[in-house]
Amino acid sequence: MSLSLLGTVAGCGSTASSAKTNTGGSASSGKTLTVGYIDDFTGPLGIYGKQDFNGAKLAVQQFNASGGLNGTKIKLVSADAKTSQSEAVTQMRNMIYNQHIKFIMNGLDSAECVAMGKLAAQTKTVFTSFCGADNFVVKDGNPWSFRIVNMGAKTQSYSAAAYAHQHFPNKKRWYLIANDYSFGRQAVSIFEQRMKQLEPDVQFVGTSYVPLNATDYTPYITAILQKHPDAIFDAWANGIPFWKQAAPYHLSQKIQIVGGYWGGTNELAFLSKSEVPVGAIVGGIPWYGIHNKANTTFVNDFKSAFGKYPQSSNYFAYMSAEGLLQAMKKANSTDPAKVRQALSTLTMNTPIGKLTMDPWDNQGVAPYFLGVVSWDAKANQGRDINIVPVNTTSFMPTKAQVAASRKS
Amino acid sequence: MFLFLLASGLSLIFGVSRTLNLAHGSLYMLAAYLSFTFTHMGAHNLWGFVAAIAASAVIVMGVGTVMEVTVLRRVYESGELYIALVTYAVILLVESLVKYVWGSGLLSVPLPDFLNNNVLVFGVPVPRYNLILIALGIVVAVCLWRLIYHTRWGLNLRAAAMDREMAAALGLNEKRLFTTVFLLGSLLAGLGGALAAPLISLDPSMDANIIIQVFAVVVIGGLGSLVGSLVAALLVGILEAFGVLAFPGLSLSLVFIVMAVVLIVRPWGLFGREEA
Repeated sequence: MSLSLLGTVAGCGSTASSAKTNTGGSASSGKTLTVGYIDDFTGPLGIYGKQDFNGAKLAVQQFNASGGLNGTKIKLVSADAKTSQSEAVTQMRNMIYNQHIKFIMNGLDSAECVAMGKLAAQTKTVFTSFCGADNFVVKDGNPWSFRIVNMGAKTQSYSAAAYAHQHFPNKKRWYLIANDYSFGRQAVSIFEQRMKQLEPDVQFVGTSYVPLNATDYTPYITAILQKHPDAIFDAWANGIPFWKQAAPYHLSQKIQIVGGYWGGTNELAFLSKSEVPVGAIVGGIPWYGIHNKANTTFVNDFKSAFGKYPQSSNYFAYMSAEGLLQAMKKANSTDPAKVRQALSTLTMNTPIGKLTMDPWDNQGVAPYFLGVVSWDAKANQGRDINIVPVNTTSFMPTKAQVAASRKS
Repeated sequence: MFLFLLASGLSLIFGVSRTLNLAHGSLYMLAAYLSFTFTHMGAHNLWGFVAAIAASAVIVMGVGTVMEVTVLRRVYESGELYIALVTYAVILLVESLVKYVWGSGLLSVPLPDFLNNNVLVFGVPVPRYNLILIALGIVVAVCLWRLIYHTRWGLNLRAAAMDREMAAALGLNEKRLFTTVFLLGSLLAGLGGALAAPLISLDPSMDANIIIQVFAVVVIGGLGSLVGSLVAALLVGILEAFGVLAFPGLSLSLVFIVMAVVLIVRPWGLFGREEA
């Protein structure tokens, strides 16, 4: 009994990925190339990990189904970072040193991607992430780290600020609220700076950072109401509790809410009619609101493969994987150095439009979407309407800005 | 209110059986997920919602009781370490079960429209559901007080909490008492989870999120003290509410600062008993 108990404990929290690999990254004659995928399958951001992975899996499935690269197919192996920077780096080390993987993908966590990016540079591993930390590609960027989808804090906050400036120029008193983690604080800070640039007379009457695991949002909602702002800027890892607890106060009808995070469009599907924040502005990638052939194909393929419609982060993972695979095709090689070169100047068509890589920070430029929340009676869920595609080109740092940032 | 329900259950269990049930948060989580299933089976109106809450709490009460009879009863005499290991194993089992049945993604329990509105209290909007939770908390507190201080069972419980060996020597059926305490504690945890579900999103890590706060409440109030759980839960709620308004930079740590002060000044908690 005691030994079995100890065995249970010893098995707890086991971290090693037991995935087997057939080939390393540079083999061009092998039939399979192993690509690693490290994301948060457990922990506070675990709600995204598994669903994100589906996007990457679809891209790989399609690549392999079309014959791969000169007969070489991709094998995707995953590992759980457990929403922990140290665990993410541990898993990456395991993939690089024990499994000899030379191409690794990562998900959302801003703390993880920066640390993993540094390891990628040290080990000359091609590393892609769609994390929200802008310093991943700017200040701490390096030639081996790529953010193919530029859905970072700057893109989202700048988009929110641009929307607010255009549509709500008379709203001068803003309350800022976000989850207390890396992306939340960056989003608030960037929004503040940008709004000050666009409207020097804007005032920020209050700021709240809500713990990631908070269950009671009433104190924060009360704090907002006490300040009587004209508008609220919000940025969440998971905004569902906020929307649910704000609903009885009719907050979105009383005060204009402008979202600076891409999860907003996803979350509407989880809310009942009385909970949906009608009138709020939320961002993301609304699958139902992008009308082009590539998106229609992607949505249909995703639904066929996984039985549900894609969420924003599915797009990010899909496009990240797709970018890596297209770079291999462009380089006509699985040699990491050649793929890296090809990826840094890649242009590709994606479900959300044309994506072009900026080679000075290895960041892709693609549109972002904002819309007004409404209740869709036919779909029986909340959805964005009046969706606006935001051109994010002007939000991107210039070559000189990136160089200056890396020197400082 | 949820903290009070969970903390009182945990305190009751510890007070009698000296068992720190690490899996208490798992019972809370299980009830929340069960309420998701029941509300999506068609419990859209108010009475359906109430039935879903009640059913979830009762099922979790049963799960907790089974856990006590089949698992914990065998390790009571083995010491705190084994109890901790066993309840940790239960945490992992429940998490795996939740992921297997409901998946790893976010889920949401809808609140009936009638409850998703506010009432003006002295001119201040207060969510209707929150008022019901407060009222329910008072009812539960009164019922627990009556049960513990005005019934034979409560007398036995207090006797066992005071001196387990003497109570057993006087003929008290220890096994039955532990089981009934666990049953009550699990019911309270289940009720807390089912009632909390409409206000939050469900995910497989929600047990870990709540248990840390519950431990803080129990430490502040005193392990084994029902009054302590009530007062500490109120105190924690007030600290969080006013901390956000008055000390936004400190609001995250205010509760734990208070916990640290209590541990230094009165390590047995505000209403706990000093160990001899």
